[in-house]
Amino acid sequence: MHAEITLRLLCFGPLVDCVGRRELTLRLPASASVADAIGRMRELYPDAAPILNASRVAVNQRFVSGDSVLVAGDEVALLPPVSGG
Amino acid sequence: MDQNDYLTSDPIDEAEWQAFAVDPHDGACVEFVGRARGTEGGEPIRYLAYEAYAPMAERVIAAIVAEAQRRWSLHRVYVRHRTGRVAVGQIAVAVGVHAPHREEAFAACRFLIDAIKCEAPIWKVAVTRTGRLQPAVCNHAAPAVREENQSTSCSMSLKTANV
Repeated sequence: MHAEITLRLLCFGPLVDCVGRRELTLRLPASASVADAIGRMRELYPDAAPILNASRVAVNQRFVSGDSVLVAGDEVALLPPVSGG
Repeated sequence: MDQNDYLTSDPIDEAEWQAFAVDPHDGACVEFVGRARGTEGGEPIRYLAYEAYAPMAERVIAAIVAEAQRRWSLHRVYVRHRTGRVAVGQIAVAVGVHAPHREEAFAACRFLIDAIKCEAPIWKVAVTRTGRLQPAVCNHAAPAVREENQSTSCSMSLKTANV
């Protein structure tokens, strides 16, 4: 079993301005959760914390909860409050 | 009606929806057309810009449509949502339903547009002469069922959404 997993993170909406990019790669310990990924993002991008706190998360295009366990290769989308229509 | 693409970067043509034949059992045709307003927060705007997490937005809207079809007797559902730049006055979103009676047609159309605005991963920016404005997020209340990890200001019911 790998000690680390590599994830593809996608940022949208106002999060792009805070993070400065739309896509990034994150390495986390194996068995990391969605909440762990959000926590790492808060560490890396403190200015984005308020938006991250208000964001929903989708893994492989499905909404997930914070305790969902991530696996290598997951596409993790950080979705700030939407404003369509 | 099976619709494959709910998002479009091309202008939305109302005639597309209006051209659909109405089933003889349907006595009610209701549509909602949302257009880009010329002001946002009192400030004149140049245009709206829509960004979408497109593959997921398609799935979310498909689930919303399926939920509407489960709740009401609908013979036709039409949804188009713009991406990219939308000029003032242009259509940003269009929703239409055909149903036997007006009660279900109005209710379904209202559900569809509200759920799409609250659930579909789409973000709107109003671009003014002085810079970008981030419009307020969806704030529709009246949740019926909350999804897991519901951390946004919006919580429309999508209890059967398998997205």
